[in-house]
Amino acid sequence: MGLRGYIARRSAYTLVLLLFVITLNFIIFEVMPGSPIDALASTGKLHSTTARDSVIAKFGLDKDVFTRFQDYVVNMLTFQFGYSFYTAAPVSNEIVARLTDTLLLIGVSTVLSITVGVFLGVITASRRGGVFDSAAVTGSLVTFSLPTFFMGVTAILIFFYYLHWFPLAHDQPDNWTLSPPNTGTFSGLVEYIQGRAQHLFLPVMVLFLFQYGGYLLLTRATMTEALTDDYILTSRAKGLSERTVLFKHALKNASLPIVTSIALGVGFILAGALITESVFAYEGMGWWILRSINNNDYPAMQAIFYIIALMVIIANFAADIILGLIDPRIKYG
Amino acid sequence: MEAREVRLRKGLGRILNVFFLIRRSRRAIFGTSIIVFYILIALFAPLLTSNDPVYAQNLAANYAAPSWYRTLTFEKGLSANQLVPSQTSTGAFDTQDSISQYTLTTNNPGAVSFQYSPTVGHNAAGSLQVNVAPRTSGSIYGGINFTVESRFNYPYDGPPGRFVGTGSVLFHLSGATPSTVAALFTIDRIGNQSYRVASADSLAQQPYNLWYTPNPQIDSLDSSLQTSSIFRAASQRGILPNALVFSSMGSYSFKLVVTIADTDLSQPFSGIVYLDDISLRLYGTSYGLLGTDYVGRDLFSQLVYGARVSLLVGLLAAGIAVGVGLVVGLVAGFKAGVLDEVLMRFTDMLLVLPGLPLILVLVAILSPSLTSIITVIALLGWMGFARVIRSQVVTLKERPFVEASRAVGAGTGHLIRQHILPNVMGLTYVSLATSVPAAITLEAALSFLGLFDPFVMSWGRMLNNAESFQGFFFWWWFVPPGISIALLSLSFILVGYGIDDILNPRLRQRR
Repeated sequence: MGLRGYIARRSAYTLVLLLFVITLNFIIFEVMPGSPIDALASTGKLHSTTARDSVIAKFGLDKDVFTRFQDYVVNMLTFQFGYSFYTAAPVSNEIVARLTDTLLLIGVSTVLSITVGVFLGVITASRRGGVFDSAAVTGSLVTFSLPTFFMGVTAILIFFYYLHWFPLAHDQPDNWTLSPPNTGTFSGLVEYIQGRAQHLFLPVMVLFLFQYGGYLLLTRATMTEALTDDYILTSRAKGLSERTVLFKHALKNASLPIVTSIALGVGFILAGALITESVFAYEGMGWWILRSINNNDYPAMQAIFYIIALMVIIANFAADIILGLIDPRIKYG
Repeated sequence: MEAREVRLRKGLGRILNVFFLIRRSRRAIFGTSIIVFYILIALFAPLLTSNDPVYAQNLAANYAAPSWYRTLTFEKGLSANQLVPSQTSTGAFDTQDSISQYTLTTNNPGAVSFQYSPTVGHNAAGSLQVNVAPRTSGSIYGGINFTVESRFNYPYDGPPGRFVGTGSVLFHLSGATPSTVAALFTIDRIGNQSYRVASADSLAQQPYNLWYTPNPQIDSLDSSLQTSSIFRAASQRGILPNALVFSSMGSYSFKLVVTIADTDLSQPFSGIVYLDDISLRLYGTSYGLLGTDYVGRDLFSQLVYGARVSLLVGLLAAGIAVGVGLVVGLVAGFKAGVLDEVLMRFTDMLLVLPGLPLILVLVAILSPSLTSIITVIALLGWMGFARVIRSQVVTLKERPFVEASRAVGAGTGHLIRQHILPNVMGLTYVSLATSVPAAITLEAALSFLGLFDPFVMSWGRMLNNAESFQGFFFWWWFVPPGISIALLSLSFILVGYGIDDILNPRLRQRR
């Protein structure tokens, strides 16, 4: 079976996986306590019984479970996520709005952690047992063990409260809601970038400290294995520079598990920054998920669980293909 | 019998083996000692602190600093808990000796005498009995009065965080009804100022069996005291009664004055007045090893008892998760075919769901308790390990020694027990050592987000409290639990790395 057959089989399997996720989503939010109508009523948007009835009809809550399940499966597969119980805005609009903020935050921190983590991992593996190795490994273990919320509040305390270097919360200065900078002009653009960067710095720092250790340790482990292989001896014997040996030969072979781990990290990329975002009140995806959970916002949660599962499946799929491209030894079948 | 003994020895040997393994890695030794340290703290929590971490409130003023903070940083403004009189608990006058802690005076020694009553008492038996004989001399208008006061030295530069006074009076009067029966509570800065903190007159109408206690309570946090005529002006400027009264160190007294008077000498009154519970409690602005939280609970005891929660959740959740993963991995790897396919596809399905949000939702559904937190963490934490074990078992079962064993007729159970399991035990230890910190931080994160068991205090809940009630301005509140979570997690990770280093000879340090 070639690549095409593999993709076909994998796609069918993905569909089954998706149906399972969709069903589980439905069951979870069906048994969740607290009526969504109550959640909506608590926001003060339902003033009369007629309003209440119309809302129940709008969200289809008057139909029986099986009809709702059918509608729900169709809606999910066609990406119609309906309206948020909490804000009454279309869920897809909210997700798009939050996703950009999250991708900025997690994108920057993940790229930074992968770069630094892999680089340090290569260095530590090549100097195994040395002072730098011990220091880097211990350091990464320490930052990896520190809970993100603890790092977050400590960072806020030091850099906002005592040093006044960085703002406290949110993804942009508060006064921008009234007078956003004019990004058309150069100075406005600079102001915009500066404002966003200031608000981005602390959460990125916390996420970076939390993430880079994992990549460092993984790279170090796979590199250590790779460095014992014969072709390394060969390339050293050829007289290649140590840098070429490490980064061109060893790292290329050691990078397979790293690619897999990045793919597995996609779920985290979309949802895992939940705690960091809530500590910094950074209005990204994680913050939004937490708000949805706290407000029994079922349509929002069903949509986001579905999307994250979909993304993880696609990422794993992509990782398999990429691995095949990097490593010609891998056969599909 | 013998077989059992052999098995026991073998099991013990295995445990000892782990310790021998650990001894070979410096990191693992460090990790193990920290873990043992926290286990000891968790086990001996009741010996380390006598305060309940959740329910024992008002142990000192709210937001009290650690008591060693005063000596170490020369923060002389901090005060400590003080009880007036110093010997009493709340049930003053429980013993005859307790009378000696009070100064008893009267304007009419001829008519008033003091004695101890062992039988009558407000909450517990025992009170100060004041006998009032029919009055024969003295002024008409002053009537008689007597004073019970407890003098004390207030040694701190700063005020207490709060004061709460108690006192109860029971009148058994006979004869004519006096025109005035009054009780007045004051806190005096001796030789300087007297502050009325509670008073009542026309107590003559008080029913025969009813103790009079100040209502509203004598409490510096009580708004009626803060707005009473003496304290109103200062309170409006932010100087609460505790700060106004105890504005300097020196001699103070907590005083109860009872006045009984009438206007008609021809109809004298007489009787007995019982006094009980006369005490003043000053809540210190420093307390214990780590101070107090927003309702005056002992932070040190919360830290100590939090170790129990973290270790329990960490070990149990990780143990269950690794156990489930081991079983699923073994079964799926050993029994190829439909069962393998079903198990692995199910594992994949759980793996694609978003971890933390799903855990949050499930714990919210089950309503947060230790049991539900452990269950959810365990049941969503086994998938990765199951896959690792399966991949190991798949290669192991094709190895020659397994085939040889199978060839001589070994059954599945024997194969798994004797050949497969011992070969994946190293992986299991490593996985256990890395799952425990994951469970610990997950529990802390859940608690931090507000999904904590309301009956237990965990480190995450301490941080949640600190975040909700401005605790982050007090490092002794949020740093110890944060560091503890990190240190305990780090220790387990170090042990895992230590074992991993030793079990993977290829990765061993080349010297």
